[in-house]
Amino acid sequence: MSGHEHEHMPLKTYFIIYGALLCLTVVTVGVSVIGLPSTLSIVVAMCVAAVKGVLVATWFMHLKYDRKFNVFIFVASFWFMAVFFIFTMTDISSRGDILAVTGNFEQRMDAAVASQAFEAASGDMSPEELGQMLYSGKGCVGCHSLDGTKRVGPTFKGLYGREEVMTDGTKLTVDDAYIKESILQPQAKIVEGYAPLMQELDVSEDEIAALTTYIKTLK
Amino acid sequence: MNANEGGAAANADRNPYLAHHFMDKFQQDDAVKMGMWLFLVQELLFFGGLFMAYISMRFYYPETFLQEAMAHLDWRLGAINTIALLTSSLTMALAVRAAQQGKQKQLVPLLAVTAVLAVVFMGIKYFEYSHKIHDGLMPGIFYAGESLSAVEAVNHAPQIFFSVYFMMTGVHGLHVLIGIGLIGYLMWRATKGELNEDNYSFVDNVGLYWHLVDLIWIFLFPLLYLVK
Repeated sequence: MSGHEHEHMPLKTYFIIYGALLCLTVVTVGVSVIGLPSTLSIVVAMCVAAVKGVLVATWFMHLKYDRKFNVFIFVASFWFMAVFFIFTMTDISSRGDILAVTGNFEQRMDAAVASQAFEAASGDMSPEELGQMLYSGKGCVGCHSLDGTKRVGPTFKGLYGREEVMTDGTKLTVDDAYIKESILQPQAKIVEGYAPLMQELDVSEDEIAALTTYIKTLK
Repeated sequence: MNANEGGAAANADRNPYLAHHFMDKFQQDDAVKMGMWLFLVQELLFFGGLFMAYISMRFYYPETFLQEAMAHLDWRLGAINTIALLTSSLTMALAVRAAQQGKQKQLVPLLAVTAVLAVVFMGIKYFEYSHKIHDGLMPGIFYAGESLSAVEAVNHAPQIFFSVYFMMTGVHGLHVLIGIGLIGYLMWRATKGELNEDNYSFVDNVGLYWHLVDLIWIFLFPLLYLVK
């Protein structure tokens, strides 16, 4: 029942709880000074804090002697807090993935639109013009410059016929076969000084031919 | 107990602190205490929002929280404040016990020690706050610490750390101030002899409030001062 006057906690208990709380404070500070790995450190600190919280609630707040319904109210609040924390955390920690997925999706949509435009215009435009359209439509423009600037990938300026050094040390001269391979299997060969960041994209044989023709014009 | 058969004799026996709509003092104390617990739980959920803000901001800016907390928060001051609050929690619990047992001579000094420790806590808080305000370590747009480029303000964002810091410790500090007021009021009532074994419910509930303030600080201290 609620703290009625006949249910006194022995005086000793108060001081034992107080001593335990001080010891746990020393533990928390000690753990922090030792310098555990960040995640472990937070977990330990929160566990110690939770134990301290239970000590305060059970004895200083007399929950041990209180009505069971008041205990229920108190514990229920932690249940609601857990729901709040877990769902919010799940949301926050997965936002990066969603951005990556939608980013990739948009890129593919743009690539598909570019393919439709390519087919529609293939009778009317020269291969160079078609290649130029694909250069922006398929997203090459994002990483490969036309003016010689180094971006995420090597520049297209003077690419055809250039001798490139690969990350494995081999040298090769850029020709039709290399361009085709680089588009279909972007990770097969990486030029020295660049990261393997290019994604595989849907590019047809005709489109590769048009792009190659366009790249040849970029002197 | 039937109100009709009570008469003058029963009214004389009636506890002067018993409100007319309660059967007896036990029923009244139980009802008041349950109301207090509901209030405390609401407080916990309210602080839960601030803790969630801390977790999400730390998730977005892990290095900022590490660097700013280590550079600008002194764990020793935090530790002293922790000990001050824990000790005040003990004296408050002992004050509630003294009130329940009708030990009037113990009650006022115990409440006084509790209040003094709370003032010590706020004094250290004042020292910490004025130091940070002097260094321009302010929340949000008020931040005037080191000059930040636009990129740093977005990527490193110390102003966000100080938003979280001032909001959490500020709201907690406000609770401590209210606690000091309540304990002062208890002392005033106690000196008039109005808080005794027949009427200790108010002491009991202020005690619960005070322990909750301590409980919240138990979590704030490691999260803000001991980040590594």
